[in-house]
Amino acid sequence: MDGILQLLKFIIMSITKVTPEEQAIREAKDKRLSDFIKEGMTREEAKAALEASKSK
Amino acid sequence: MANNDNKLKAYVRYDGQKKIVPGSLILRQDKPTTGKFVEIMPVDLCCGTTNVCDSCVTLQGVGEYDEELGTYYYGFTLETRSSGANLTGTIHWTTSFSESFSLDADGNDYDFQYDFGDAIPHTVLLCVNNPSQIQDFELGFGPGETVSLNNAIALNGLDEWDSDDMNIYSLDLTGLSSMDELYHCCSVLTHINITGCTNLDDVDLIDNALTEASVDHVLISLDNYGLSNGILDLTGGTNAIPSVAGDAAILSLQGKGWMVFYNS
Repeated sequence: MDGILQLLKFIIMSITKVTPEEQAIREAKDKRLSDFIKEGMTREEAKAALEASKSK
Repeated sequence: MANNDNKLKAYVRYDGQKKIVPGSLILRQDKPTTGKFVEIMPVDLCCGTTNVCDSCVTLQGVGEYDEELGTYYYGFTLETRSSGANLTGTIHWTTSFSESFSLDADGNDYDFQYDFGDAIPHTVLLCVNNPSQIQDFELGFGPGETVSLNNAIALNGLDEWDSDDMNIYSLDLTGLSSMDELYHCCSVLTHINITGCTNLDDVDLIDNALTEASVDHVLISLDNYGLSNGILDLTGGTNAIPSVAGDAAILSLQGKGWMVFYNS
């Protein structure tokens, strides 16, 4: 019975650790204008770089 | 969504794409019969004990349909710090279903996810014992949408706040004094309060609908906090043009090495 309850619990809720691979993908997608600008780009260059990173 | 008359409830209207219609927030006793209105943040949906409510951030979330599983999930992400104590707390997905957690301080993302079973707003309480072990609070990576939140100060100690794309009209981050990065782009955000967020030096609020008062508040607050070499972006969307007072804050910030972008 406990096993069934645990299974039900897993189905409706979860707390899961994101894999390093997925986290790397997220971070790439989550790159921001400010990150690029801090790296020394102009705003226009940063916009282009941001678009490029989002489309990966 | 508190009001002086508890008979009144708050409703927002959803369009055909399940997005909140900007400006549709109304207070009424009964749900409108025309259009798809849903109630948000009912005043009696808190956890029942004042102590728990005071120590938790209250999220109003709407599930997103998962075609593979055939149900509506909602979630968000916490990134832990890379050293120190485990991040511990309890999440109350409903008034009758909660789960405690203890996450390693390994610098990784942890996804929190729950099956709401429908696409109406539900209240979730996130109660963290040691929020200074949160590196990044991400409302946008999980499924579904967060449409409002209360008592953000319960997470004071975190570094980064990210609620990009969430359909939040008003964001009150008062007192989050440790936060240095704030990201909320591309949404219907109209009002924001960063009073006491004295460590902010990277703020991205592009493509929102901020009022002049909110734009000025952000500019003047950041100027008053006195930090140098920060970056602030208020461009795009229908974010208001700063007033004369806001312009003065821009000049002052630029004098301290800030890069400030805004609508003009």
